[in-house]
Amino acid sequence: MPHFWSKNKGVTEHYILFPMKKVFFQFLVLVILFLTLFGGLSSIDFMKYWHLQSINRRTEDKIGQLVIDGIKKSNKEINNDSVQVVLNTIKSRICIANSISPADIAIHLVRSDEVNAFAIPGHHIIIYTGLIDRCDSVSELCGVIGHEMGHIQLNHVMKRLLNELGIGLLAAVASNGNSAVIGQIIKILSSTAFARKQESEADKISVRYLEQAHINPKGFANIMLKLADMHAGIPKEMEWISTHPDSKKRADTILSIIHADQSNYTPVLTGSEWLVLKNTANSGY
Amino acid sequence: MSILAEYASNDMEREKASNGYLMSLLAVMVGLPLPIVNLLASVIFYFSNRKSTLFVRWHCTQTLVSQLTLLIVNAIGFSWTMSIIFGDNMLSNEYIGYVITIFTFNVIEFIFTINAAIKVRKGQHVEWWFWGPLTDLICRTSGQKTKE
Repeated sequence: MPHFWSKNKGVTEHYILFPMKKVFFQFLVLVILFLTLFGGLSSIDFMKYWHLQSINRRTEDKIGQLVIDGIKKSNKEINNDSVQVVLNTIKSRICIANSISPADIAIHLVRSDEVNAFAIPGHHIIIYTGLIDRCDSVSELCGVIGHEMGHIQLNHVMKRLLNELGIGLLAAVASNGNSAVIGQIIKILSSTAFARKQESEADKISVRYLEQAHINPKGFANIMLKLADMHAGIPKEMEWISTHPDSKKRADTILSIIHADQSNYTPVLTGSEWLVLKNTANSGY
Repeated sequence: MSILAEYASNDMEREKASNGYLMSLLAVMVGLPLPIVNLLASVIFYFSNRKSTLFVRWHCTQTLVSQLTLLIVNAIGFSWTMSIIFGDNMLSNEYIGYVITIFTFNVIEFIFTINAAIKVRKGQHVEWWFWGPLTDLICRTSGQKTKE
């Protein structure tokens, strides 16, 4: 190569360097043209003009309401004032600290001895009284709520339903409320796990939410460990943990990502408020 | 000035060079939506004609480098689409903007390729913006090295 360049310097300048400049210049123009077109088109709000966002959210809200109605048919929702106040306190604490509008998330306490909690379309979180019964502290419950809020914020719920059922079936359900499909949606969301990556993302976001809200995330790891230990004995009732595999490993991951330097945790509820939840969960079976 | 500017091609060369363009078009139609198929067709055609005359090599090279450029932008679009369908990404204005952009570039390339196939078959020299000078450079450099 040096031989070629040195011996043919004049020829090289004429035949190689000049065309190379031309190629570079034309490539630059092409890239600028591509980026300008891409940037210009991206600035157009196609989602709004084609009603893509509104269809998604409207459909999601409708499905969410149908799912809640479906759950209420088989399980009783506990919506007395004292319980709602306590749940709203927890929700507001996590939401406000993480710049999420509390009005955008709804938590429903449903009577069931299943240890389960899950997010459904329309930004609703369903918590079974069985889960509260198993929680020894409010931070454990906050960990689970943070995890489900993570699924909502990362849009895992709708993505999963779209993957499992398809957009056509979901749109049809939203318009005609097919009860068989609603039942299927409830089954999918309440008794099967998200993809491992999505579960891991929701765990991480939950830890972040809790730390931002000055709630000790160790409670989240505790409930994981606790439920993992109990899992072998009562598999059918331990839905939340049985649908969330590798809980021991996940608890270790949660503990490893907690910022050790943060210790300014403050109580979420008073003792009497927590007792309201616990007593409600314990009574009425 | 292109190295093919004063090249006198014969009928067989024109047909082979024209087929290079047609081959990529055919592969686009067969291989959609996978962006690799048209490139593969161009690569196969390029290697089968790399020892051919300068005229044929030049046009095969122009097809190949243009397909290679399109492959990059199409592959980004393809992986973005897959991440929306199977991954965590959502439909967005940026995605729609990108899809329209690459669709526009693909259509332009498609029209230019048909035009090139027709003109080259008639013996006219077709040199595209950027890919023409790049092809010229590749063929000129390889030609210089061969002489050396």
